[in-house]
Amino acid sequence: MNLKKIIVVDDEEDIRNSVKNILEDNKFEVKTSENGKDFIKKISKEKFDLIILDVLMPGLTTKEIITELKKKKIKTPIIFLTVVRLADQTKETITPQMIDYIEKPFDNSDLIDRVKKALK
Amino acid sequence: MVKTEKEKLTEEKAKIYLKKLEEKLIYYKQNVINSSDAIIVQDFNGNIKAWNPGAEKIYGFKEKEMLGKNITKIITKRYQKEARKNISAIKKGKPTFRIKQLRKTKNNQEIFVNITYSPIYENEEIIEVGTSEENVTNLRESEIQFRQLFNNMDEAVAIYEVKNNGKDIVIKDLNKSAEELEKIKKENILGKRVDKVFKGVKKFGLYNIFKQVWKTGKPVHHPISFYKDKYHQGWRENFVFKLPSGNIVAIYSDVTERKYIEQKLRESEEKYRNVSEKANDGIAIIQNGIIKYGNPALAKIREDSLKNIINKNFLSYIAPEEIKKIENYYKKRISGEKVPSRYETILLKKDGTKIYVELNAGIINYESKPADLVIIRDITEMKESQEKKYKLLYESSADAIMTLEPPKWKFTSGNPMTLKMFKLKNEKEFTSKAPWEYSPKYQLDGQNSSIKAKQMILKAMKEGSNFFEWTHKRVDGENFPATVLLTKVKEGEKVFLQATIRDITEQKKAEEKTKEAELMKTEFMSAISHELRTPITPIKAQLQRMLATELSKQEQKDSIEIALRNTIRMDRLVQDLLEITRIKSGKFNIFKKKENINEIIENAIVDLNSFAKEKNTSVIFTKGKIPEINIDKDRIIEVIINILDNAIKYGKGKISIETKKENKNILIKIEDNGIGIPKEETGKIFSPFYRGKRLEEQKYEGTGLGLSICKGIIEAHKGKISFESKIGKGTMFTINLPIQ
Repeated sequence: MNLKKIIVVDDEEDIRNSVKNILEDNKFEVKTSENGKDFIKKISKEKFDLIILDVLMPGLTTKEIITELKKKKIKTPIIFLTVVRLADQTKETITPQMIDYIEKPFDNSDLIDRVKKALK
Repeated sequence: MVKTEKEKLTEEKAKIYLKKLEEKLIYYKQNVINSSDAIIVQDFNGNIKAWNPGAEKIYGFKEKEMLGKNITKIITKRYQKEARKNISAIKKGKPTFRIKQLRKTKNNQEIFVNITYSPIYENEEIIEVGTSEENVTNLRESEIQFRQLFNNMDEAVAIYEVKNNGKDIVIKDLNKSAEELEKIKKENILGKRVDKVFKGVKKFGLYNIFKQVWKTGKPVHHPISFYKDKYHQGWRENFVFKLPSGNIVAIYSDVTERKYIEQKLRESEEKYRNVSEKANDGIAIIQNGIIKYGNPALAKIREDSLKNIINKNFLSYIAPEEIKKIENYYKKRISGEKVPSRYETILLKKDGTKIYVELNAGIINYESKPADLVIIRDITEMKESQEKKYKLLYESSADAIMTLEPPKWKFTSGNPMTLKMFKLKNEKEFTSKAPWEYSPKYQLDGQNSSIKAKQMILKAMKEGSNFFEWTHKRVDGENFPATVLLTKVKEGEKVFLQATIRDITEQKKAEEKTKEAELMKTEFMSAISHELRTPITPIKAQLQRMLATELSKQEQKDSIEIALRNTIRMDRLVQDLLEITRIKSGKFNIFKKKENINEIIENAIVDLNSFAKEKNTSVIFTKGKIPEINIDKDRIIEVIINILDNAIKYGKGKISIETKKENKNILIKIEDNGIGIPKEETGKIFSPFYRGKRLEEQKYEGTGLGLSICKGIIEAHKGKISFESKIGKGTMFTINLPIQ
């Protein structure tokens, strides 16, 4: 059985790694990126089953990232990592791709549930 | 025959006697003929033997019509019996008597006559009856009328006869009213002396009045005199006069009750008069425009005498420009129309000066006709103080106050603030200019100023006032926000607008600042929230992991490390937050002591040595000659480290630090050769949580509160912190600390 590949994008190292840890604990293959630019690079090269994307990062804005994905016709489902409900920014960029969102800090079990749901 | 002497004498005597008789006869005949009375001779049967011209006059019958005819021709049937009786009385020898009797004339008119019956002798024998008849009809009628009046008068009438050359005054007659008043029957007192019947007359002076009137013939009127005797007491009004007959008539009435009422009226009048006399306000009663009554206060207000004011035209005391208004009010009030009862106007003093008065008017009945009761209050002082207050307000107001006049709505006057606000040189400069000439061409909403201004003016004229915001322009071209209040003013016939303009530049600035502050607060709040959640996330995630999963010892260690690291981060954040809150709320204490700044900087450089090495950064420190100053060492170290840390972080390897003394300050300059701060960020760098977020390469550490804390610390030392930056070249921070 192929393991599902997930890419986690967050500028905070500890958050990035914590999410990676939880996913790997649950038998997912995880790659990480610390900013939009690097993420676009990685996702252009490899195929992923799920994207977990932080909404507030320096550099490319979430909006810009989504536009890039659209341009490249990448339709991988996205789970947004948000702080304090859905920021206005995020609301603007709601696309059919956005399956779900989860607030930081989160319950690990909640994260896994959503990931599993998104991968169905 | 020869007559004897005696016979001759007798003949002489007889001739003289006959002549005398003849003369007498002629005399009597003349008398009879000339008499206005009727003189009639009749026999005992009533047949008329003689009828004089007087009889013809009275009865209308001529002599030839009556001679030989019967006297009954002039007697009504009713009195014929009596007439016969009278004749037979004479026949029987009754001496001359006089009676009143009704006769009738040729025209069948009944007349009243006084008849004197006399016997006519011939040889000592009564042969005929003679009557002398006087027509007293008029007298009788008068008498009847008199009697009627006499008895029906409300007033008491007493008629007195004065006898014995004034020694006795005797009651001759009393009318019904007198009888009632004195509670006496006249039969009981007629003929008695007045002072014996009415014992008080002498004591109370009436007796003397009677005497005086009788002596002088001049009537006396005593409106009120007091009378008292055993049976009566009271006040009498007496009118005493003398009759042609010599009798005294006293017409009198009891006026006790009237006097009482008059007394009460007088008392009440006195009361009101006192009120009116002593009132401070002027009181006038005006009827048909004439002042019928005025009180002393009115005279005082006018500075005139009361007698000059009475019966003068009230309007002549009103200033000409007010006359129409007052007239109008008066007319409306008299006709019952609703009109304000209180209003201000201008009164003229005797010397022509104008004073402000307040009139309070109402309708009263005065002498049975409607009149205006006006209370006049001198409000000059009040007006003057009002005017003074207004003048003060006008002169010293922080708002510009001006007037605009129709139809062109140009400015006609302005207070000192107007000149200041618009930066004008003098009032002349702006009069006959219009509001839109002191405004930009368009207002903030895009409307043309000239059109919009006219709309605002029209609204004020229609509704009485209009308050709105407006952008004005000063003479030097500077636009400024203002609030405008237009008020409609009426001064007599003139109508114009008063404009009060307030420069709200400062207000707007403050509003902006508040908005900014609010925005900053919100941003601050969400930033804090975000900042706290960031370390919490890995702490929570790792701790959950450890509970849920079997981890190797190494994995456990790593997990705990992450949790601990972030716990420390949170702690630091909380500390910084507290510090920044303290700085913002002013509860920030610094403990100053004399310190050496150069030493402090050297220590900071040492502390950051390893970090600098890591970043391949060299730090060059130029020590200036600076004195020791009073500072909080720990806090200042914090600042130096913070800035130095940033310089190493964002710099490109070269940092220079310099200290020097400049006037009364010590300057610390820290310069790096880093990428610099973009222009749009320069305003924000001292804001809490600011980090160079937009720059990709930044890996920020720290809480982001550093620079804002530094600013707070330096400002608490009454110093300044600033920076200069050029993109690509670098940034230089300058700290100014006053030498204390």
